[in-house]
Amino acid sequence: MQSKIAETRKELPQGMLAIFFSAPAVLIIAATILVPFGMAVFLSLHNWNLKRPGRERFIGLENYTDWLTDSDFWEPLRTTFTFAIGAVILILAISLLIALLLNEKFPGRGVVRAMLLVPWAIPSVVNALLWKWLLDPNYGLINAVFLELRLIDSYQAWLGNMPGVMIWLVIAYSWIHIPLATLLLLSGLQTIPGDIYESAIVDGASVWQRFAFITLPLLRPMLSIVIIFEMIFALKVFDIIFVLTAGGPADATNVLGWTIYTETFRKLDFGAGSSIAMLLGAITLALAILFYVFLDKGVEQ
Amino acid sequence: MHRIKSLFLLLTVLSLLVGGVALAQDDGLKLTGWPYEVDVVTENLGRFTDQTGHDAVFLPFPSNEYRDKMVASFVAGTEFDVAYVRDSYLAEWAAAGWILPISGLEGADELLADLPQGIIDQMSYEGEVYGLPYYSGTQVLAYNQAHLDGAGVMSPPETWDEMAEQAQAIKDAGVVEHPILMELRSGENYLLRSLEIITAAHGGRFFDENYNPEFHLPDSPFRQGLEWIKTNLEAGLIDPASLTNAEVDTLMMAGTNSFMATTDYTLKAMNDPEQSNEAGNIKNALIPGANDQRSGTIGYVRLYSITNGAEDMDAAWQLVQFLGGKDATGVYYVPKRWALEFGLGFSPAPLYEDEEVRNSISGWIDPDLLNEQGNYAISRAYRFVPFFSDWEIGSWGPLQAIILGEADPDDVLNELAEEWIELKEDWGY
Repeated sequence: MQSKIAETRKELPQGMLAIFFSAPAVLIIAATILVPFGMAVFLSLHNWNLKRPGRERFIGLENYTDWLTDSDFWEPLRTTFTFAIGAVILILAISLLIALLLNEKFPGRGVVRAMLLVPWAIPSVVNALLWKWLLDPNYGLINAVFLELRLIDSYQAWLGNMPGVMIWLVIAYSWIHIPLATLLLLSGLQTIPGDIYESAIVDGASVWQRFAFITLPLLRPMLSIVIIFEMIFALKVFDIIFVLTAGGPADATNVLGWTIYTETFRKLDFGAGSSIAMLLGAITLALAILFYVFLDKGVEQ
Repeated sequence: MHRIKSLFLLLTVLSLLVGGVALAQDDGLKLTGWPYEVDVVTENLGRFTDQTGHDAVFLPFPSNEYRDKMVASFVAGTEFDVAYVRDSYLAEWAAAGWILPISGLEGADELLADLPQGIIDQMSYEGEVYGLPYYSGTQVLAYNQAHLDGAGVMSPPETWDEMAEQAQAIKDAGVVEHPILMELRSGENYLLRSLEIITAAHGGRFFDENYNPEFHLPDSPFRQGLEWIKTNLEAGLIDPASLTNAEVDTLMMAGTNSFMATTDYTLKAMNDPEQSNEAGNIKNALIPGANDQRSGTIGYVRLYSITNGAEDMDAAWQLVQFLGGKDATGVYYVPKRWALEFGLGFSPAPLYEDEEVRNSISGWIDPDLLNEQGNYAISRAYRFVPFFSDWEIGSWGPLQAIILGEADPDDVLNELAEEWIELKEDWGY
C-alpha cells in the first residue's frame, strides 16, 4: 500500500501536487473574494443605477472624482475617524489594563479569563440589540441606574442627542471588541521573560518604571497588531450603526460604512456605492501599512 | 467489492441531491412580504391551494429590511412570484421592471371597479396599475383618554397649538413626562411621513402637481410644522425617543405617552388587552389642524404585485386576485379577514357595506371619525416618481439637524430643494 502511494507521488511533479492540493482553497477564495472584488472595481468605474436599467455605461474615474469633491464623502469620513480613533483608544486602554491584571497570578484567574470571552462570543448584531435595550429612553437599565445614582434627573434619549450618541456608540462597540484585544495583549505579555522584571526589581525599578521601560517596549509588536486590527475593524463599522442609530440623529453617526449601504442598497446606485467602498478600502489599507511601518520601526529601535 | 460500495454511495448521494433540487423546484408559487401574522397568511394560502390546486408558500423577510432584501433578490433574479409592495417604493420597482402591471389581465377591470380612484392612483406608475391592495387607510390621531382626564382636559386637540397646550397640562399634572410621540427617526415611513402629516394639517404639501418644491418657501406649512416640532422637542413635550425608537406604537400601549399620529389599524392593537396596558383608553380623533384648516392627513396603501420572476403568470395573477380581491367563491375573503380579525384598512367598496365588518371595527375605532379623516387625505403624486426615495434618503439627516437645532433651516431647505430639482431634471420630469 505504502509503495503504491510512493509511486503515485513519484508520478506527480511537486508543482502539480501543490496546485492540486491548494486548488480548492484557491477556488473558494476566488469565488468569494476575488470575483466580488473585481466586480466592485468594475461597478465603481460605471454609471450603474439599478433603478435605471439599460443606462449602464463606463465613466472611468468619475464616481471617484465626484465623491472626492463632495462633502457627502468628507463628512462621513470625519465621522468614521472620530468613531474609529475613539474606539481604538478605549479598546486599547481597557484591554491593556485587563491584560496586565490577568497576567498576575491570583485565585480564580482561570474563571476570569473564561468570563472575558463572553462578550466576544456574542454576535455583533445581538450586542447592538442588547445595547439598544440598555440605552432605551423609556425603559433602559442605564437610565434606571443613572437615575438611582442621581447622575441624571430624568430619563435621557442617549442615542438622540450629540455628542452623547457617538460616546455610547463607541462604548457599545468597544465592549464586544475588548476580549480579542485583551487576549492578544495577554499573549504578548506572557512572552516577556520574567527574569527581566526580576533584574529590574533588584535594580530598584518602581512598578511604573517596569511598565514604561520593560512592558510597553516589549509589548510593542503585539500593540501594533492590536492597533492595526482594531483600526481596520472600526473603520468598516456598520452593524452597530444599522441597529442602534441608522446613521442618525442628524447624520451624527453617518460613517462611511453606512454611506456605502445607503448608496448601494437604498439608493440602488451600485456604481457610486462601489466606488466609495473602494475608497474606504484604500484608506484602510494605507493606514494599516502606515501603522505597520511606524510601529515596526519603533520595535527595531 | 470496495469499488462497488463506493459507486453505490456516490449514486445515492447524487440521487438525493437531484431529488432535493427537484423538490425545491416543485414547491409551487412563492409569496414574499414582511412577517405580519405569518400563520394567517399561511392559512389563507391553504385555502387558495384548496380552491385552485396551485401550491403556494409564504417566505417573508424582516419588515425593516424588506426593501433591501427584495432589491437583492430582484438583482439576483428573484425566485418569488408575488410580493408585498409599499406605495413608497412602488415607482422605483416598477421603473426597474421588477414588478409587472396587472392592467389588461383577465378580471382586473372588474376588481379595480370596486376600488376608489385614489387607491388606484396610489397603486399606479405611468398609467399602469401594479397590483391589488393588501390593506390601506389613513393616518389618524391616537390619544389616551385617561391621560386627558388625569389633566382635566375635556376633549382632544383641534389644532397643533392646542395639542402643545394639552401636552403641557398633562406634563404639569405629572401624568407622563413627554406626552407627544412622533416618528422622527431616519428611515422609510418615519421622519418624512410625520412631516407630511403635519404639513398637510397646516394646509400644505411638499411639492405641487408638477413636482416643483413648495416645502422650502418662506413661511410654508412645512416650515411651520418643522418649527412646531423643534419647539416642542426642546420643551420636552415631544418624547426624545421619537428620534431613535423604531416602534413608538408600543410606547402608547405601555402608557408612557398621550398623543401620537399613527396608522388607523394600530388602534386595534392599542385597544387589545392582550397587547396593551392602555386598552380601552386609546381613542382616535382627527389629526389637528392649523391656519384655519380643521385637519390634514396622508393615506397609504400596501399591495400585492406580480414580480418579473413569476414563471406561471396565470397562477401568479390568480394568487394576487385571491389575496387582494375575490376568492373562487366570489367574495373578498382575505381583505375581509384582515379587517375583521386584525383591523387592517380595506379598499373594496362592498366591504364598506358589510355589516359584520362595520360592527367589528367600531369596537376599537370610531368609524365615523375614521371616515371623516379620510376626507382630509392629500394627494401625494410626488411620492410616485422613481427618484423620490433618493431625495428622501438624503433628507433625513439634514431635517433632523434642523429639528435638533444643529442646522440653519434656510440653508438646509434651499439645498434640499436644489437637490430635488437636480433629480427631477436628471430623470426628465
